[in-house]
Amino acid sequence: MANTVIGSSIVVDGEISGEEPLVILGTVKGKVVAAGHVSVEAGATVEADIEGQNVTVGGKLTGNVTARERLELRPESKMIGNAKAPRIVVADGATFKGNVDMDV
Amino acid sequence: MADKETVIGVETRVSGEIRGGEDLVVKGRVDGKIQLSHALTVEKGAVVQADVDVRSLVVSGTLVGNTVASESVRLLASARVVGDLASPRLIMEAGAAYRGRVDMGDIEAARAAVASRAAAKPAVGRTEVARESLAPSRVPPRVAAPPKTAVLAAKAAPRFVAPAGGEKSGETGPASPPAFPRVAGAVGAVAPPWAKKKVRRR
Amino acid sequence: MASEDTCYIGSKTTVRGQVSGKQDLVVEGRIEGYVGLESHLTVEEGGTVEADVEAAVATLRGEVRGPVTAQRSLCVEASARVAGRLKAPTITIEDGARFSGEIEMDVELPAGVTPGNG
Repeated sequence: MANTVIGSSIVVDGEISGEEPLVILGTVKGKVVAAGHVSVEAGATVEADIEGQNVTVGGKLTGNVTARERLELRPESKMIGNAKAPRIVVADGATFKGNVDMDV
Repeated sequence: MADKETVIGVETRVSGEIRGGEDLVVKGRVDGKIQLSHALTVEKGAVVQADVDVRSLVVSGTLVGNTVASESVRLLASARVVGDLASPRLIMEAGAAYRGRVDMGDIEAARAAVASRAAAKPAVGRTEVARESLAPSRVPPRVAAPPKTAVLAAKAAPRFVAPAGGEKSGETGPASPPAFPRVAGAVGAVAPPWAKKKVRRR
Repeated sequence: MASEDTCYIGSKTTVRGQVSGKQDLVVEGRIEGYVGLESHLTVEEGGTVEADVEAAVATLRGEVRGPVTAQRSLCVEASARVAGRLKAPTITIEDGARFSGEIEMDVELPAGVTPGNG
């Protein structure tokens, strides 16, 4: 269970920083810095750089991702930006444009 | 996510603006601005330092900033609140600590006043984000000292905030909660419309 | 409240000037001016106080205009219509009460929160 949830009709314009799981269903513009898992759910729109332990993208993401452990792009996801993580999973059906850096 | 509710968790901090059409529960910290067509709950232990425009507000934590609530404001026993409140209904429990100006009359005027004040000051959250994204990203401690930009701006800001809906001067700096000008014999000075018509003798 | 040590201002009585004392005071009528009590002030529903008010404890159910300072506690009950500045260590406002003005209490903010940069 995520401790922080940004609901589908919510827009956050700014920075979210936290040390607990974060689930985004709505819109986030700015920056996300998380110590834990960050999940951009299907239907979510994120225009922000994301930093987290594990980052899962199911929605639309424009921004750079730095995952300390793992980045996963799910089938319906759309990501534009650079990905940096030791492990990266891009599912069949995911759209991705950007550089990949797995050398952490 | 069965219940339609946004939660800012205990270990999470948002700097900037949150707006939307669902309930928001803050358990962590929010600095900036909150605008909702629904309810805001500031839980015990939470800190909200923001101008707030919502339908209803329930506070058991700390809130610093000006609030407009079109339905109601409820300050529970553990609430610590500084700033102006505009709402047709205000409930304050014993134990709640509050300092500020209350307006239960013209909510729209108060809302316009808060909006113009917010427009006049630099968008707090965005500035901070821009600054911080230049620095190497680190997870800041939960209750970090406010960024320098905000502190400086606050120092430059005037100490007084014109009463909501009252006389306005060209406000620039961030809204600071009202200081209390000691109006000698404030009787009638703040009398609302309903008070005026009942002056007849018994 | 119905102690024999209680002073009543009846509903057909108006007092203009200064009211001070150590007895509890219940206002069903009208007071204009200044009220300074070392005891409990109750403004009943229908009662009107247009005055600078100081009391140990204040219970407001009627119409009050003026700064009200209570040494111990202040309660604005549902039927009250109050305008002015309220000051007390503990203030209660019931649902339904009408209030306009300022509230002044000591607010202890947690570390890292200052009223200046909201």
